[in-house]
Amino acid sequence: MPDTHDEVPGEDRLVAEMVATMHARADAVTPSATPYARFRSVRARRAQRARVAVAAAAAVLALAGGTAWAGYAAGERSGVAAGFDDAEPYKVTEQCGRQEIAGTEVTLLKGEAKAKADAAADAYDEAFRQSPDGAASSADRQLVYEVVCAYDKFGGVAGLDVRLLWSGGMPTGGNGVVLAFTRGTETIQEFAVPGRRGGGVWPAEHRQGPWLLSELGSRNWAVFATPATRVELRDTSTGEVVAQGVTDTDGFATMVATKPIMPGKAATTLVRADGGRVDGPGAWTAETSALSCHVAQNRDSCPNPWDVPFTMPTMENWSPDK
Amino acid sequence: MDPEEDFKEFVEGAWPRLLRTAYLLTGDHHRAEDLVQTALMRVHRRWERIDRSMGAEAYTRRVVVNLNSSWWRRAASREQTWAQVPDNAARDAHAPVELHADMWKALGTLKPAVRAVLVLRYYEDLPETEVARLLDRPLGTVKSQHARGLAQLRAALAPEKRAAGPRPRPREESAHA
Repeated sequence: MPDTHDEVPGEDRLVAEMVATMHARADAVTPSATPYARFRSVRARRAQRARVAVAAAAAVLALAGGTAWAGYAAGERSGVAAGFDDAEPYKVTEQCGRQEIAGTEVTLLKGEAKAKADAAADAYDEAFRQSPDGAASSADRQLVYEVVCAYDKFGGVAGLDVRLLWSGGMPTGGNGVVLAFTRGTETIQEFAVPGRRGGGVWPAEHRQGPWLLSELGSRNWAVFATPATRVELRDTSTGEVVAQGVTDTDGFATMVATKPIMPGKAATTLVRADGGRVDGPGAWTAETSALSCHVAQNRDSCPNPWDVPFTMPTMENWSPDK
Repeated sequence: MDPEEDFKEFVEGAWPRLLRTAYLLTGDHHRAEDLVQTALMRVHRRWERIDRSMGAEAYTRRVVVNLNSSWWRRAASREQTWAQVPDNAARDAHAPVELHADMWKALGTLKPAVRAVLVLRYYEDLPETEVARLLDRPLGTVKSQHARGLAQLRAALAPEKRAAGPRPRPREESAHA
């Protein structure tokens, strides 16, 4: 008699094993909270965030200047900001064409940008404290983020900016945040705060790759490039250097411009100022995002980033003319 | 009955079942909760307009299945070639590895559309005609996906494959990355 353990399962046995597996696995799953209480809680938080979103929308639109930056609204319709928390970690990145993101404190924001976000968080916190309906008790406060997706001229997601608007208490469970920067289907860079769902993912092959410029506000810019690279943001119409910085060991730097810079304008260029650890041409420039697509207003009009073929620029094929 | 009360009663009753179905569809507890939550949000908005002849739970299950397919399509269309993954996710506490590990992994290799057919057919114990109706697919498509699913499981569970273990889908790799 053959060893049944080594047999290829017949259909009856296969189905029986499958059904047993499904039931065993499913039976081990229990909701993490009383279902309806959880639903109500999430729904209430979404309503709170929607109110924040409306408040934040004007500011974001002012920063974006109606140009290349697309925002996404919490509650799917109501504004430009989005909040997310433990209960809906995919909500934001779904809209930005990414999946792996769960929200908590933000490493993306450093220096001036972080100070600004912290101040905004304080302001929103205070606003909630004073809201007539007592919108946020200390027990159910969650982080509220404003998320802006930036699309490059190829239709890819060039940047995903997460700004902390309001923090009434960190959610439990140790969330992580992964900020993904992509073009087309290719991941350029991902930044992460360790947490559940995997924490950080660092695509090593891109860490030495071309830079990526990201707006944190018309005056606040972030750049991702080779570590220890000095970068300048220049107004090419005048040659004026409006911002400069040096990327840290993670290849990240924030810069505060001396005047507002709008993405999508030809005059907005990033110039690598010195060699740093990057080999190749001494300087290369590129326009920043040039695709105008307002997700919150008309999501259907936005091109699907994944439908747009895109070749990652390299030091070999990249030139100021491209 | 007050619609809100009606909905509450529905959620309290259907949530665990929907969650389990979603878990079988996704293979990930957190993702399953997100899936059910999002589906319920959608159902709540349409609660008073839902065709009750179909059944609210069946309707919601259909939303869950469709949402899962669309999430997966989005995820599957991008590259996932990471050179290194320095941080390891905590193991899913709801998925002890020894629990029918081979079959569970094999189920994870199926495309969502095929996996959905098998889950609805065998876990939900729905007849194929009902599966077809729920998924809004022709009966012939469901039959062929059913057969294909079983064939793929059989191939994945062949002795030589069991020894090596089936390769998980990229989506699941990333979920646990």
